Amino acid sequence: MKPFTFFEHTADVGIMAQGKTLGELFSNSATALFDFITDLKSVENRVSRKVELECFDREELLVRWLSELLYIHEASHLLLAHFDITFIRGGRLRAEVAGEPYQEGKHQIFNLVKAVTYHQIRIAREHGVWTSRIILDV
Amino acid sequence: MTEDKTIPHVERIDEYRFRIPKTGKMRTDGVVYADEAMMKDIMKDDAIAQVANVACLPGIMGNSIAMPDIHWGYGFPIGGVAAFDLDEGVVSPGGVGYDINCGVRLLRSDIEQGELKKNIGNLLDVLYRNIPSGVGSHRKDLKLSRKEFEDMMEKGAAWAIQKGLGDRDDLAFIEEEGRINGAEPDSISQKAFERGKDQLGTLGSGNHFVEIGMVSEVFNGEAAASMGLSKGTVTAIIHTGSRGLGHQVCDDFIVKMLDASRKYGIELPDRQLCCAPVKSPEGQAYLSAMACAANFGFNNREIITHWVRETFLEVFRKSPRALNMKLIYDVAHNVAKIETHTVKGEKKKLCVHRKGATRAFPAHHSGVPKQYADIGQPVLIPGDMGRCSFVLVGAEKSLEETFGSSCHGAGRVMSRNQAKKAARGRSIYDELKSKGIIVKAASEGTLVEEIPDAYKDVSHVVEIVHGAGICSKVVKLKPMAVIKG
Repeated sequence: MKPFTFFEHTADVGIMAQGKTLGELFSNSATALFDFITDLKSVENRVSRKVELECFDREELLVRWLSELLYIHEASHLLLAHFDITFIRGGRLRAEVAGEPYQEGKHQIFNLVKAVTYHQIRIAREHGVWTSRIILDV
Repeated sequence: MTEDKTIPHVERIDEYRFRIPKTGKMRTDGVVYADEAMMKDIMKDDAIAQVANVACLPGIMGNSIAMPDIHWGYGFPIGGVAAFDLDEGVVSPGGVGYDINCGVRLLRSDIEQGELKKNIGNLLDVLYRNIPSGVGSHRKDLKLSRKEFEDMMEKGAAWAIQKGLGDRDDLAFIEEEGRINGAEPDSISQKAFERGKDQLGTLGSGNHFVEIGMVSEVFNGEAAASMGLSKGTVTAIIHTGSRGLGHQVCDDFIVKMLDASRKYGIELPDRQLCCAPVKSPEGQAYLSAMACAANFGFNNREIITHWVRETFLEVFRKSPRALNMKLIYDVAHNVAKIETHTVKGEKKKLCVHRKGATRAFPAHHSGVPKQYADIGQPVLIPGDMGRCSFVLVGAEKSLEETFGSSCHGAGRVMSRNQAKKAARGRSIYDELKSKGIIVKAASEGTLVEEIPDAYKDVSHVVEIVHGAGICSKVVKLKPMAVIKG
């Protein structure tokens, strides 16, 4: 099972992720987001942050989760590569994420992501596998 | 409401307009400004369905309008104009977009073409050094405390001028004089502040740029002369917006508007269309936060303008008076504003959303600077970096048909990956150089994603708004040196 793939969407980019659990799906979606931004192999696990979210439903939770990571990335110049979902149910999530501050020379930035959108967002569970589809505004 | 995937019925009105007749839950018709050839391109994605979706929103006045550079966007199409009644209507963050007050400004200079050509390589290098561009870039000498940041958002472009980062004479030539009213900093989240705090005076990435060029063709000599333009005049275009601050404001308010849409019982075919009544607390809070981000955008372009002027002083070693770098105009193309328009013979205040559309007020409108009262508001339409850009002025029909609006640019036709594929094996630098255009980009990736082939031909887009009578052509600009984010 491939954790994630990217797909084309007019001027933008979409992520299709999979996971055996909802937590794994959210973690893989986050990995995809930062794989699009940078070379994950170059990011060490040096700084960690806690994330707690509560919202209306799973779909909104996925957008809010990725948006929160994007905010951490842009406001604190952090590159994130490790995503540990410690609790997820309905519209609630708790997680610990880790990475390190961007350093010129060590890290390469491939893409800037403006936002994570709600457009045609989909989360489904088929044959015991969770899948999601989400579009980034780049 | 219309599903995004369903292609609505489209019928031709005249040479430059198509109608999407009101059907199902649409409250009004959609009108698309396009000719037959362009309509074929437009029909390739779901943008037409999005025009129909917008027509379903409560309190929409007139038509749901699309400009010829329309392409698919989130919820609302890019190149869309929609006006809403203040009592019955809604305001939607998706009707403005993530890059609040993304916009364009145009400067002119007295520098001679020959002198520009002699120094063009150096000019490009110094511009690139002085103006932060690309992902994560910022000037270390411009970091604001929360208090200063709030002051900047409240005051608009006058703030930059007060700080010595702009010219007082510029204000009259900025849409809304560089300040959208109602910007209350308390409506901005800490997150939005954190994302924006070190991004003032940065170009950003993607399609944002600074372009040095010259007037290559004059269509309307009188209007051109009012702007200080004639054939061969050297110009500079600056295209950027409100950066991370705007992105976060949009993000924050989409969350709030999803709740608001449920609260006010507004049916949404796509969550990205979420909205709230204009006069609701949620609607008012969004308009205030949007004004804060818009005022950041005006400051951003004013500060970058200051650095462009400094770059010219450094490279050409002439006095500011000899360079005479005047601001011709600054337009916002992602914004929602309260404006007065005539609807069915009656003057009404409306909330006009322009997403990838430019305000285009005609001559003698009170919103037009005095100097342009007889010609109309300048409308700046940048093309891709390999072709050309246009200066137009608003014409009478814009008030009758489009709530005083026109197109904003060329509009993408290729996805980023398609552009990369199309650029494979080619040297984009050399191709542009052979056309007399030199480019410096923060990354090779940006450059290939932004190849001229990825965009519609801006001349075709401009022919349509000119032909339809909502704008009228003044001059054409040819690019010579471009910095990209």
